[in-house]
Amino acid sequence: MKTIFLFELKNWLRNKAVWLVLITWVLLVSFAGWQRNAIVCMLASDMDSSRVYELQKEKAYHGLLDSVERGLKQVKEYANDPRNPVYFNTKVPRFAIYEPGVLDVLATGQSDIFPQLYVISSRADYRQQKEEAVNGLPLMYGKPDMVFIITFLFPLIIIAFNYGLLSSEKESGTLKLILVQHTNLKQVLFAKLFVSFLFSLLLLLVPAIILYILKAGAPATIRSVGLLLLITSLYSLFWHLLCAVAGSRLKSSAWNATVLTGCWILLTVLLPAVINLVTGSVRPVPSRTEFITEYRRATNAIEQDSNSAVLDKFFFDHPELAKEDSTGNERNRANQFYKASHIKHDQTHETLQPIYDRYESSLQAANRFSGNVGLLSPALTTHQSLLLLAGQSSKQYLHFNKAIVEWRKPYLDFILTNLLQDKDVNRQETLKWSSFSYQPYDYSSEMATHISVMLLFIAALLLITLKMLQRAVIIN
Amino acid sequence: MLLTLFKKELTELWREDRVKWLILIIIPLLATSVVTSFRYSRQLKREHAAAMLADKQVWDNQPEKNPHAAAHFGLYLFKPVHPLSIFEPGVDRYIGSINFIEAHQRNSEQYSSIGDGSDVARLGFLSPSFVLQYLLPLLIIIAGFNGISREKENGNLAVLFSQGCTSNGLFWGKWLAVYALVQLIIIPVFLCVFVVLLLVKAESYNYMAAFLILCTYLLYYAIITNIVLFISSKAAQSGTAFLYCILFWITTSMLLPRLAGSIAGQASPLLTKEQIIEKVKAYNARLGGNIHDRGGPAYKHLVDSLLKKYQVDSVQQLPVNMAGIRLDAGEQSDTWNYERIREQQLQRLKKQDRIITTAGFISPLIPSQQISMAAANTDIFSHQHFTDAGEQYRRQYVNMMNRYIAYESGLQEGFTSFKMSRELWQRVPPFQYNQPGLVALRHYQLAILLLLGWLLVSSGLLFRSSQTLKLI
Repeated sequence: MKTIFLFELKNWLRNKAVWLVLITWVLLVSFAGWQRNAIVCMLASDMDSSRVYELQKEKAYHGLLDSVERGLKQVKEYANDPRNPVYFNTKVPRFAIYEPGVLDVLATGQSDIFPQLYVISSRADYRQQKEEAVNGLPLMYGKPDMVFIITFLFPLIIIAFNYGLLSSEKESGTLKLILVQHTNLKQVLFAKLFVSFLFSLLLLLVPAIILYILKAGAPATIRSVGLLLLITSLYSLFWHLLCAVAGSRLKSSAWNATVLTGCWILLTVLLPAVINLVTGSVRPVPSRTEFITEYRRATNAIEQDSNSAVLDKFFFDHPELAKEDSTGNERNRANQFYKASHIKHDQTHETLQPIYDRYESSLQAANRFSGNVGLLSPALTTHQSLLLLAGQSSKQYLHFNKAIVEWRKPYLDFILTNLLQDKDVNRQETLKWSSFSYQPYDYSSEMATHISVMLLFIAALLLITLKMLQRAVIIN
Repeated sequence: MLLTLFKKELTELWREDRVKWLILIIIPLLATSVVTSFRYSRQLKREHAAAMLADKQVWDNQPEKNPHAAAHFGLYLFKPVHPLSIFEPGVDRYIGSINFIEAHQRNSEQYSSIGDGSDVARLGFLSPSFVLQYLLPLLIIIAGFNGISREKENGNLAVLFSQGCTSNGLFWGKWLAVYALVQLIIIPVFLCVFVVLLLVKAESYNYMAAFLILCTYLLYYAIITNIVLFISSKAAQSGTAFLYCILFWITTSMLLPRLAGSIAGQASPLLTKEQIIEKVKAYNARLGGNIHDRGGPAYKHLVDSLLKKYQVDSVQQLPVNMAGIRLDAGEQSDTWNYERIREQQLQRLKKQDRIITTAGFISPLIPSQQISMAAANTDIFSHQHFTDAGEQYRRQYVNMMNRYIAYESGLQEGFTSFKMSRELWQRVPPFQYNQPGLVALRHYQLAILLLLGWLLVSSGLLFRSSQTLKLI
């Protein structure tokens, strides 16, 4: 077996196609890494600017609050008083910033769909923040990132080099010659596979090294790169064993190539499309139009019920116009608007809460379902694992959104309680709400499931290969 | 002879297990995709119509309020569903189809259906166009990859030529057999398209559009057939021919569009929300500040011009409401700002599109998709058409509200206590939108030329290959 292995290794090293694939692979992976890295750098810079802006605003606010509290500065209008809870809420923005995974450069994932920065305030609801203008065509095509290259293109390289594992020897008449030299089909097959597997590991080291070198986003750790290598190696092993199963039937190379490519199309192209279709039918997500209709009805109904002279959003957009009214002092007038507006907003939110909950639980259920069904395809399992490593899966974004809701609720209660009680806010209280933070999504259990499923597939394929090789020997 | 060869090839293809299997996979997938797309489209159409009506009712039944507050309350617009989007959903799932219009702001469409999907949803939807654009070329590859190479491998060429068969006849026979196989699938699909158009009582231009899409697909499949047989004639072995065909399919259908889209996005990024805000601020600064700022030079200039126009000495003497005039002038200034930003955004979008179309020199799928999407009005420029129509409507209703305060309120100054009732809200007409139809194709002249170019070049290559075919 050692002789066959060394012979194969020499053959591989002499093969020009191997070097061509290696160079193309390095170029392709580097291009994907470079392109994604540029986007990650830009996003990281935007996020840093937002953090700096947030800090500056907070510092300026606390400076003003200190001066006003110590009587060093007088504020004429209540709308501009830093002790006013609404001023604190609107003038000191709270940014919820998404924390991507350590291997952010690996995948675009859902980052071009889900916003990574939200403004948290009593008026801005993260679920209704306005979207960026996008060109749908690049979104439709998807990005040529490392995940795409590894999940979709990498198996084709394995197939291209291994579709004729035994059949090419059989077709050229060398198989019989090899078999008479104190060896058997199993040894020939596994020696060939082993060389190809080593080559695939070399290919897989390229993205791992690039990711480790690139310093954009969070720096990659040994653990994350190790996980990446483990998952991708298992993926490579799966495709190698699939080639072994096809090869062990000792049919023609054309037959092997057709069957293996068929498997590739089934696992990477057809199955995702079918899973989407089934998910849409079995776990449908409630319609957005229904949500909008309910939202509009709720806001209108609340406006109809109100008999106060408050003009809700209008005075938030034009607070200076409040002075034109003639009743009460300026603080009372302003507070009247603010209170009514916040109460209305709260009421609308309460009315819509069941719809929000239903929508979000449906979305999570759809994600869970498609994730579970996706375990049927090692390509989808690998895709999902790599997205989790990159921190770019839907689950991680939904977790972030949930964290915003959880952080926002007590913050809004604080604003509303102070507002309704005509209480000023002070430095100590405002410091409690200095910045949003959350615990990133823990994917360890999912990763363990993915690895276990991959191992199961590998074990099954290994058994089938051995079984078929036994039969092949008998036939020969 | 040609007919005999054609019959022989078709019979052989029909006997191939792999072809039968693929047809057996494609037909149910296509049928399922047509049914689910039809259901989805019908449901979306119903939902949009109901939501549009409900939103207009909510608008009409607003309580008494200031007209400008009503302008802020805004309206939701829903993009109509094109009948051909059942077959060619295009970019519709990737862009929001709901637009919230309000005073001062020009918003982007919200809630794309892809945003409500899972990670797997990003890997492709099973729509009829997905089957026709990605899976049918695979059928051509499976049916034709060994068309010529097998004859060479088996040493049949000499036998065939000795029996009077010419090299041209052999290529034509194989070409027609593979192409006829595709017709077995595509023709029923388009019969189905015409039935759906009849069922939904589509406008007459939609039939023309459907016919155009059919022609595009026929051209695309002819190109793929040419290339597959060309590769087959050049490859020494069938296995190699198959791998080259698959490599061509992956490069042109999966890799190149992604690369093109990604390069386009990086070369000409669209303006972000933050950049738009900064631009609006810069434009306002150039115009002498925001007109809403009553202490600013823009506002002072407006007051001066009004005093001069009405030949009075103070705002109180004006026969119009100053606050309303200010809001109206502010809206005009916002409109002017957003119009300039829209132009820049459109230029960036066009540049992105040019880059993607250029990739059509290497991938015949890209121009085919672009023509098909434009005919079904599911391309990016048709979407822009809807956005622009929404913007026109926004200006119309916001101007109506502001000008009512300015000219019909009867108040000389101040306006917060001024309220109007339903009569005014009901004066706003419902949003009417006509899709661009075949006009959308004007953006894709290069794509049409590219597709024809692909046909010419691939036919030329195949013809040359048939002329130089060696017996051994």
